[in-house]
Amino acid sequence: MFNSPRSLFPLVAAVLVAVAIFGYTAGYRRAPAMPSAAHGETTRTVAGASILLEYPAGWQPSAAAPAIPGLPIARQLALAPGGDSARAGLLGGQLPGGEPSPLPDRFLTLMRGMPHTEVVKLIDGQAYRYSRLSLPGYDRILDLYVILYAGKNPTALACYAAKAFSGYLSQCEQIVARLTPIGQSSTYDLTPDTAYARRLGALIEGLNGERLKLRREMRARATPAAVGSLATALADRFAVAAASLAVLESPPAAGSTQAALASSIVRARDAYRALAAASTAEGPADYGAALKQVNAAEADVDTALEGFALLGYSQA
Amino acid sequence: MSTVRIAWHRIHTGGGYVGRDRRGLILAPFVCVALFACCFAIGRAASPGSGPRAEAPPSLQVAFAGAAIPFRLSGAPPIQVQTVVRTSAPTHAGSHPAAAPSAGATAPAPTEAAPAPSEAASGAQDPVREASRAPAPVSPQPPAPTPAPASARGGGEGQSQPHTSAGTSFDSSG
Repeated sequence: MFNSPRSLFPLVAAVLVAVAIFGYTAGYRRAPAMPSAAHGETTRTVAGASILLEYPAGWQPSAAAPAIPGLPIARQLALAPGGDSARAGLLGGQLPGGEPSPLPDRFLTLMRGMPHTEVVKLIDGQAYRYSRLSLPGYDRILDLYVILYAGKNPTALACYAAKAFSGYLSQCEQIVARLTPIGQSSTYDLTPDTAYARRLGALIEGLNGERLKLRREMRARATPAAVGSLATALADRFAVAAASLAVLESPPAAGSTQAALASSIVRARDAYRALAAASTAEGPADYGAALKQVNAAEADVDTALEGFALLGYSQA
Repeated sequence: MSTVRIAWHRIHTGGGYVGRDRRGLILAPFVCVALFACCFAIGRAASPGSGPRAEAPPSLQVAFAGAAIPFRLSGAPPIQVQTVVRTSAPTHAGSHPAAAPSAGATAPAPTEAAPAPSEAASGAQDPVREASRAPAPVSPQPPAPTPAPASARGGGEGQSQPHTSAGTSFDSSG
């Protein structure tokens, strides 16, 4: 039967075919058993707060999540790995509307420094991502995602983790990336508008140049009459800037921030007018109050300008 | 006796094939392992379970953010106003040119704005200063601010500073 090696070929071929079939079958069966959750594969969904979230099987809805200081999230939806929200998790919901920036003022007041802001692309839309957030009394790593919907309150998704469990943040990011809005008409294009930034930057730099020139002159000529005259000129310059800002068309996402800036510029205009009026007043108390008003109003202008950092614009 | 064992017997009794067949027998397990690994990989790739993992989105892409805006107004020199404190001193106010602004435009340190009572005597040689201090009560506490001009402080987040007696300078940094 096997008088020559050639007679062995059928046997060898049969063995090789068997090995190939066995290998293929083993590989085919092995693939679904891979830890897909570790790769962020979503297998379950949960709805709430106008969004639908897909999350990996290792995550579970959580009854409660650690509160984030100063961040009032309504209609909360919490997810956590294994349902244990103490280690890491995701907290989603709606932020209050009517704020000049995507983040509430109360939250910004608590923050130590400005966060790192990016505009990230989700599968369905865009979001602001705020990282490197530092809050007193909050020792977890926190990445905050804010999505703006036309005519609706912003939706926030907070990914948090204790330092030892920071690996969960990437899974949380994947959950955010796959979110589906429910009942939302449309999202804003959040990408910073270069042309808008150029126009707004020119407006602010023009105002600032005039302001510096007049303030230097005010410093040199410190008499009440000179200060009054120069303060009037400064007030006029701020008024011109406010008028220019009123006709500057902003991207939808920057509308409320621009409105806050316009208000602060009008307040600065009024403050310089008060200073000019104080130059005709009799007592030093009028000057003190007027100068305080000027400083406060210009600080408000700075605060309003910093609000653009939260929209992804960079410092010129 | 199985067919394979019969084959082995025939091979070993076959003479000339023995050396070559031994090499073949040594290589055969390696070939089988390699074939198994290849087919395992193919089967794993062809599995439906591998699809979603391949499509799992990478890290979130960041949109271009090259638009720049000045985030602050530049620091401006402080506003300084030289004004006159009109006093109600009946004896000196009318006899001295207290309405003239003081020459010293630079605001001194706050403690200097409130002269000590001991300085009042020496200040009496300066008619302007003397006139302004006339209504101020003599206090045994030297660093205490004088009531009239010091109350004007507080403007500009503490940056407004009253200057000397008759000529008062309000300093406000921007």
